[in-house]
Amino acid sequence: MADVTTLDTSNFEGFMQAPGTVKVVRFWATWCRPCIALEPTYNEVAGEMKDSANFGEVDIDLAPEIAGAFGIRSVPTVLVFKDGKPVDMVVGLNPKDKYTTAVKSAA
Amino acid sequence: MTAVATNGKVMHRRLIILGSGPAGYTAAIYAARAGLSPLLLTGLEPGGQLTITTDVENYPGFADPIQGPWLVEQMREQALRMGTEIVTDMVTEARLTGKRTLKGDSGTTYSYDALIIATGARAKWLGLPSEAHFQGGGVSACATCDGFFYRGRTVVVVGGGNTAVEEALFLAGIAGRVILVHRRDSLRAEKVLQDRLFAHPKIEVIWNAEVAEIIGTETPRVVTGVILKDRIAGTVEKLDAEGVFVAIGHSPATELFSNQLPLKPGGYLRTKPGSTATALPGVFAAGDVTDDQFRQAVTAAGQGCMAALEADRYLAGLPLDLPAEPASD
Repeated sequence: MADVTTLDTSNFEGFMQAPGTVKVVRFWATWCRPCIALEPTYNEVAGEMKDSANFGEVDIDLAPEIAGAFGIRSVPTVLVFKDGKPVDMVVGLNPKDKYTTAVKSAA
Repeated sequence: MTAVATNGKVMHRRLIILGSGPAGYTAAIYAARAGLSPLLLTGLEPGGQLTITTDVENYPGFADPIQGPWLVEQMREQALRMGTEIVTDMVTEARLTGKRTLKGDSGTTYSYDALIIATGARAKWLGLPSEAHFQGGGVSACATCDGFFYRGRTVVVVGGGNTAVEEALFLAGIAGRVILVHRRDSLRAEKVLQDRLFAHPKIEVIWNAEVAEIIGTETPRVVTGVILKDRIAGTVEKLDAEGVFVAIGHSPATELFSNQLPLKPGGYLRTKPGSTATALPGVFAAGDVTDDQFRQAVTAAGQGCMAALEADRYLAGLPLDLPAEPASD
């Protein structure tokens, strides 16, 4: 299984309810260059931290409902959930340690 | 070739270029053609500011508007084709004297004989606590990234330069109403952009005003408006808006070097007049990191070219102030 799950309305609920308390979701779009630039970093973080959290991503064009439900107004945005609730939000393109720190503090 | 730097490595190159905008890539193209086998470190945002612009109409060589991301991608391809080694890494520590080393976010340490700093500039923020609070919830510095969320809604753009006007025009294609807030009574943007702005039915301008506060709700944490202060009358008014796009200029990305190289006011790297040479031998600066005057893609490219030619002379042990050899290409 890939380290990052592609999420849409059909599997989002299931992803959030799957075992493992910390979930991380990257909201992105194909036309957003900073989102494309963040992708390799996010994948790396997911690869390194897959034992402490589940990682997913939402293309906001394909699932605007999910972005809307969490009040996403900017991409890229990475949301960190604990026990189903958002506990941290990292907006924009940032160095890798910002993401690893956010996941670690939730785990 | 491209490579992803891996942990713990030490790499030495004759010439290292920091930055992947027009200055960095042009320096790479010239340096590679000079046989210097340059290594270019992209930085956090590969491609730089051009990657978040849309139409570019003033880069010579293209009769029709081109897209910023495409332009910088072409520069990258050209730099690669000429033999540049491009590594996706961001320098987090620089020692420009003594051992001359750069530490990358990847864990790799780089050393060099000559260095071209083309780290560019990043968007400035207003500095309000409420601005930081609502980032990601309606406060943005990237219309091309976040305009999507404001279809049919009201947005405020703050600023009066080219970036502010370009962002306002871009947003006017999506939003229902765009209000440009500027602290002066005239814009600094190019005339052609101003003409388009004033002619656009969806765009209004509020002059002599500054954003005193950004207001919004907590759950969800989103913007509902701004408090504007009239700089002449001193009056305060509330303006309803769902997005606030800050476009008040850029600050040079010099924090890695600020205690090692002389700076100009505003934090720009100081170079010798008519040259890209900094105060340290073998260290050159090009593009928005040093340019407090023009800040165009084409001037950055020009300075990147100068930096590569000067680095080549430096590495050959030649004085930098020799009259240039006539070079036809």
